[in-house]
Amino acid sequence: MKLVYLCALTFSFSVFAQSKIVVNVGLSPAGSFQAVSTKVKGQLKQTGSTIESDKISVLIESFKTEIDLRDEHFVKHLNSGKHPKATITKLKAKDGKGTAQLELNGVTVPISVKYETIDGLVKANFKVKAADFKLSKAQYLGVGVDDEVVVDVEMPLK
Amino acid sequence: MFLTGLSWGYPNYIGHGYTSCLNCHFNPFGNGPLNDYGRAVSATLVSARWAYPKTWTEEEIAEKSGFLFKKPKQDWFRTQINYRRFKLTRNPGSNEKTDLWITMQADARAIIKFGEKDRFVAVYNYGQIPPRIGAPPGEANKEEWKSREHYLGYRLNPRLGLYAGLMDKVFGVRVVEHIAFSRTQTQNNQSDQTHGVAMHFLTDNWEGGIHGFVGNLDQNEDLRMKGGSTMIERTVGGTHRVGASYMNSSNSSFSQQNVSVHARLNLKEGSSIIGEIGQIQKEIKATQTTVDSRYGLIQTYLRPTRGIYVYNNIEYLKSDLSNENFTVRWGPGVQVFPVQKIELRADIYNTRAFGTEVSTPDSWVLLLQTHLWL
Repeated sequence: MKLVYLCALTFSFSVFAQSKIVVNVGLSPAGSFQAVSTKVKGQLKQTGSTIESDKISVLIESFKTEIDLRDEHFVKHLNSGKHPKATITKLKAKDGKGTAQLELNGVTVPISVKYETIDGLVKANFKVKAADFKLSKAQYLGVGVDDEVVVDVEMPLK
Repeated sequence: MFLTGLSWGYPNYIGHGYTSCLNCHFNPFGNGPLNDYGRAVSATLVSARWAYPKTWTEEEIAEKSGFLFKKPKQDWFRTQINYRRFKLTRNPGSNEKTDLWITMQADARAIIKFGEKDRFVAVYNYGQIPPRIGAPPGEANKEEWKSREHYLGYRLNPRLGLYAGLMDKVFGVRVVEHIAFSRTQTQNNQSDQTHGVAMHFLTDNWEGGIHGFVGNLDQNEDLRMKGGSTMIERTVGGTHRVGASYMNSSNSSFSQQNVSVHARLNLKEGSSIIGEIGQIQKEIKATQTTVDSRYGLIQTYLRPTRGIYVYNNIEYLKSDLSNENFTVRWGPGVQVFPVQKIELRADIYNTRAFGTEVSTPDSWVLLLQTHLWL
């Protein structure tokens, strides 16, 4: 019976422990899509009530948007060939709020993060504008994307 | 049963995050010619890529989505051809089995467009009016060719557009099923286009329109249904839509009012649920009698992999609320897009009439369809 409990515990941990980044993108004239990656590298450390991380990174080409063509456009638009990773550094958060630096397309921009911790899993989100990272306005055959996107991050606490 | 026509739209693509029809269609309420983006989506999202070499990028596949597999060389003119034929088998597997082959769609379309984001469009769609099954002998197979729709559209700005000409009425969800009670009972079938003027609006969370119409001017004047309709939808939860519609129309013989509410839910990765319930009041002017009816529709779409959609339809019709009789129709189906510009579809429909006085056997129908477009 102990083995069963151990297996169940291990399984549940492996399910809930996976890190994930979701970029929520609005479409113009209407609609939306999500770019999702689970290939997140880095750790969140908790010291007292403070959560910190030196570096969290994700490969741009690991994001999937449900449409293969859009995956290609996503990678190309974010200039993945030259800057293959998006990186969060200097993350420091406490009481549901925090700050960090986000590097994308070779440009580093300060970001404000909101978060909550549920059963050892940190769920955070922040807003960024593509223009701040010197990214041109994305448009394909008349359908464009909103400049501001909401990024959701889920990571377990170590 | 009358298969009076088809009005093709795919509102289930809300499961891909497309809340509005405007992204992919020239008509912001859906149906009719696809714009360039819609054709690229049909090639790279809807259709499988089994047939292409692995070395081809999605961009290369998208570039084949133009007319005759070619990338357009100019921005202002588009042509399209649509052909759909199906085999209808009644009571399959029984001694009473009957087969019928029907060409449901044979359309040639031309679109002129100008301005940023196709601000001005002129759409012309000439094609065959499909035969009416169940019509008197001699009429059932009569072919008729004419303008299916023609209209001018002008977007004053991204949020507001005006459209004038022969178009579908603005009402409810334009589901693909041509025999859906929500289409046939509300007079919103493929051959129910009307001349009129429609206004379309779109905000961050709201979308809708108002349509004033004078009937199809190609019909005899006493048959033309004149009136107006409106439909409004709101985005909820970021990716779902709920909406309501109203239509009031009449001719010299009778008048009709429809009211409905609907929902389109995004289950992600191409899967969705669509529901609509509505009530109709018809008044026969000569006798001043009214009949109230009610319908319901639920569709579930699942997308196991790119190129395949598996779905289920459940429909309800109480054609006269003053008695206890009602009809339920349900059935599964599968839709396969093996390669861009080809759709194969199989549907099974079981129809059962429930009544307090008369009992009728279930009817079974098998529909096998092929849809080609260039």
